[in-house]
Amino acid sequence: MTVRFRPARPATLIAVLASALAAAALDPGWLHAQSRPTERHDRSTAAGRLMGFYSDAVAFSPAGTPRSYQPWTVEAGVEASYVPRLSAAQRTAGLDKPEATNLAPVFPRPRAVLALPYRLTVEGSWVPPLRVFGVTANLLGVAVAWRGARVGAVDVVPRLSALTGRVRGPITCNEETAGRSIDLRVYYDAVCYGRDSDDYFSPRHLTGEVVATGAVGRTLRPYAGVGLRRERVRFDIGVIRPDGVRDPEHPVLVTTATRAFLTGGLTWLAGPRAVTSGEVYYAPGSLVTVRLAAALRVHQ
Amino acid sequence: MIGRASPAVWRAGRAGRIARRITRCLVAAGVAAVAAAAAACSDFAAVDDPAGGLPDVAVATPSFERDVRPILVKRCATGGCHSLGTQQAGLVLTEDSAYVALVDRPATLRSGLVRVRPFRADSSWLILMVGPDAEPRDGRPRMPLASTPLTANQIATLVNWVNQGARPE
Repeated sequence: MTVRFRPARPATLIAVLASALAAAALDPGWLHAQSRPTERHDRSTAAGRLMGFYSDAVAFSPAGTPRSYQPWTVEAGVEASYVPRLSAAQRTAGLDKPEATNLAPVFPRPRAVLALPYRLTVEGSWVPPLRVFGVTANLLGVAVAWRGARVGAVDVVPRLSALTGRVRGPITCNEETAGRSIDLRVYYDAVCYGRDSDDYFSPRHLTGEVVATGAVGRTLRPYAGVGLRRERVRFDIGVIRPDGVRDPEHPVLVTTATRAFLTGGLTWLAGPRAVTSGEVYYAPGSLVTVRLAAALRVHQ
Repeated sequence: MIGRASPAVWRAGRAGRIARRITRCLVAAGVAAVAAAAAACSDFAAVDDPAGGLPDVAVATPSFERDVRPILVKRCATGGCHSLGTQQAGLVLTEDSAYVALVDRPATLRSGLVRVRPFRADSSWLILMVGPDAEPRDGRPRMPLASTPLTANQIATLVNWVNQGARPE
């Protein structure tokens, strides 16, 4: 059987990205947070560290060597990022019980690249609001990279990226974890009104990084990068009252921080149209994880 | 003489190459996934502050305003618990309400006891509920619920306050 890929037009890709941007921007989650107490956290607090960890887990990193393309080439693929499990102590955001954050062991993300003239590429990603592992994400990532500088045999690629959207899940109140002790059961019945919470985790990232990449043989492209990310992350505690309304007594947690990170990886040009990549992402004081990606050139 | 391969043979050879390539990709992905699971980890430590940012000292002659009320507000009057909006067990322990809600008021969940009986910490429901013993009291879990318990010094401060008359100042 021969599988033929229908070429995606650049205009179609731009339209999809614009729709995703609108969906993420118009996401009305912030409306629920009106007139709610706000708690500000930083990396010295348990809540700040926990939010920083998950902010890193969804960061829109290169997940592959920035590659050279003919203008208007389109590449589409998928990335999977491993989300390490946290201990009960790490998930305790204050003096309260541990939060149910070990929901999704993997964060999957579709990605697309559109090559522009002048060695520019635009990368886009939209995680549509589908429920996976009990979590519903709606995240949009956009990046622009320029593969125009060369030092010896190494290409130096500056990359700017942004990420916005939110992840919903039963983190504060989770019936599955409530049955583990009498304390948690009573907490679930009394404080959570016997319902799973509808918590919103909303990261906003603006990231600048530099990626150095070269060639090893005909098919291997190692790379390494360093970057800084300015981020504002909100966690809207969504305890749902019996009347279906979000309990206004619970605060919205906010962290604003600048975080450094390192990336390193290897891309394998598996065929004339196919590439696979592996990346190690390290954010000091937060997370070490590995991202795997595969992509296919669908238009040239 | 080597003839030109027929289209069927050519397609079979191409399919084999694609299958081998896919197999290599899957093997590489599997190895990478195993490495990922082994290498990935968090890089932060849990914050260990059982006193919750409050001074962890046993006050010998406590003042309600200075020593007792901060403990109640910080550890009990949180959203979903003994706040004004939630009032679990009909008890509000916010800054303005805590004293009136506790002293000489009957315990809602245990008839015959009062929440705070001045000079009698041993028969005050508040002290019974926050005590160091993790076992349930009359089938009810220790307070603060599902949380880090009060420190021994914080409990001693509450006991001293009750045994010295549970005065409002």
